[in-house]
Amino acid sequence: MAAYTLMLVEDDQTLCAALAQRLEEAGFGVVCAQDFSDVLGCFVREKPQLVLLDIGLPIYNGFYWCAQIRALSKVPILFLSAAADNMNIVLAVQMGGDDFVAKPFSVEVLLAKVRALLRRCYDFKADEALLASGGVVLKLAEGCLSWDGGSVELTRNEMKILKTLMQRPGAFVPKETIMQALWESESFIDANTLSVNINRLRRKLEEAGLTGFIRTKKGVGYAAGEG
Amino acid sequence: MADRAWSWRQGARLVFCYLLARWKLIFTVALSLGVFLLVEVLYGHPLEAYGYACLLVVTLLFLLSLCDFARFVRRHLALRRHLQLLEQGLPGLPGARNLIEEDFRNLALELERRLRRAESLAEQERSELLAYYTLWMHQVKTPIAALKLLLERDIRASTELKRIEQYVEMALSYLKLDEVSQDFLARECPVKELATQAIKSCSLLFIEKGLRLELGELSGSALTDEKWLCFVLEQLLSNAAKYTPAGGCVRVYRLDGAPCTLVVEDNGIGIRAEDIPHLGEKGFTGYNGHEDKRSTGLGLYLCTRVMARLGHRLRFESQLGQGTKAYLELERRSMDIA
Repeated sequence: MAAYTLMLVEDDQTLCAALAQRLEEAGFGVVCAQDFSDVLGCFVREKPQLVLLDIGLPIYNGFYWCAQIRALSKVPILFLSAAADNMNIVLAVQMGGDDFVAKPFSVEVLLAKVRALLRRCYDFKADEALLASGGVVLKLAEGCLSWDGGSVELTRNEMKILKTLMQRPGAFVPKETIMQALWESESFIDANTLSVNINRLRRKLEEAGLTGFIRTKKGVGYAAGEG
Repeated sequence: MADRAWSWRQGARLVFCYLLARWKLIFTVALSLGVFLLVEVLYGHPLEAYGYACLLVVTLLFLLSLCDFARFVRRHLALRRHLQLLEQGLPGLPGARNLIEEDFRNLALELERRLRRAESLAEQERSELLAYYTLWMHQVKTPIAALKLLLERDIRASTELKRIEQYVEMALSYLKLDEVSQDFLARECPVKELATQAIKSCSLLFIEKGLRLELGELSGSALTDEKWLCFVLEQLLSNAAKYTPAGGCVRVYRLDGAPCTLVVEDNGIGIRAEDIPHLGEKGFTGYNGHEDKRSTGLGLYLCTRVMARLGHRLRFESQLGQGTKAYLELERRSMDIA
């Protein structure tokens, strides 16, 4: 199902595994380089559409592999590094990197950059375009929520809220997590505004015929879809 | 005139020092003349010839002494000049005239050699330490990144992790402060982007505490280094979050008109008037800092230094109990490179 395969070159096993899991959740295929003496071999074998490359690697560093890959391919390369001084960023771009994310990063930012690069290089139409929960489908590209018998147009904030909830269908998401997602898209709202927003959204859905889709558990958070 | 009086005194002192240095010679001459006088008197010779010989000897010695004195003064002045030029080492130290002077000269040169060696050793140790701490800070960021992913669902843990991340950034900035000019990339940055980038990075600190954040007017751009200015903004924002009680509000906006001035305003506990002038001092914690055991007095010191390095200025206004405003004046002053 994953149309795009990302290659992850990161020698920290924990970070590698956690990041791979998050990228897979976001709908990407992920290959982790295992043999750091032959990253290029792995690249040739797996033919990924994008490479996430750490700079500090055993044997050869990320710059070396970037140059090696560049000699073969125009694949987008995103550097991931803790050493985010301007020097390294400039060097990374000079070696043929397309972007740079400083560790520790926020997954949202990383995903946004990955998607932006894919869009630029492959005419990528966000795979995240559809999120479904119990027959209700969130169409991100069109900004609407549809279900058997109806649909509503959503505002930007409403879409962000539903997206956060529907990424884990049925599970209760703390309001702080939703707020964080909203802040990430530059809506710096507080808890009161969030509950106003959610009540308005809930009313909007009810008026359109979708009742009980968003549930509240006091002190825990909100959930969308079947529990 | 005072100058002349000083130089007379200086001259008299030189003469005195010279006589002191040659007292054995003077004593020997006087003793010899005395012995001759005694012998002449005991023999009952007329003293005319003796007096004449004395006059000749003393005149001759005086003339020779004048030359000797001039050399004495020249050497004294040359050595004094070396004291002032010590920074450049001891090349061209005047040659030694005798064994003792030679010993002193060797002593001075040996001391100088040892000093240089100690200095270069210290410099090497410092740079090794610097390299290690920099490495360590980059190393620790990878496990932080991993933890961040693992703990994403836990708001409290993520907030603490964000604090750790900020401490690492602070330490890194502290190390790199003296090299800011090397790690400096000035470009026109839209003010709004700077503000939102910093706010997003600190979002947890606000959300967890239940603080409101308002963005005001943020048009235009400023010539600055994005990364370093964001570091300062993040510090100021996290300070605002720290010293504003739950339910409070932090506002970020720019003042009208040029030069561009960004303001981070909170309605928190405020800063005592007597503390404000000391905010940028290293290790200054003030009244608020004493209350809060986490304060080290390093954050604002770093901010002030970084801002100076960027050619900007940071100042504060505060009303106790009503809030604090931090003004980031982003005009380009001449960069402080020293």
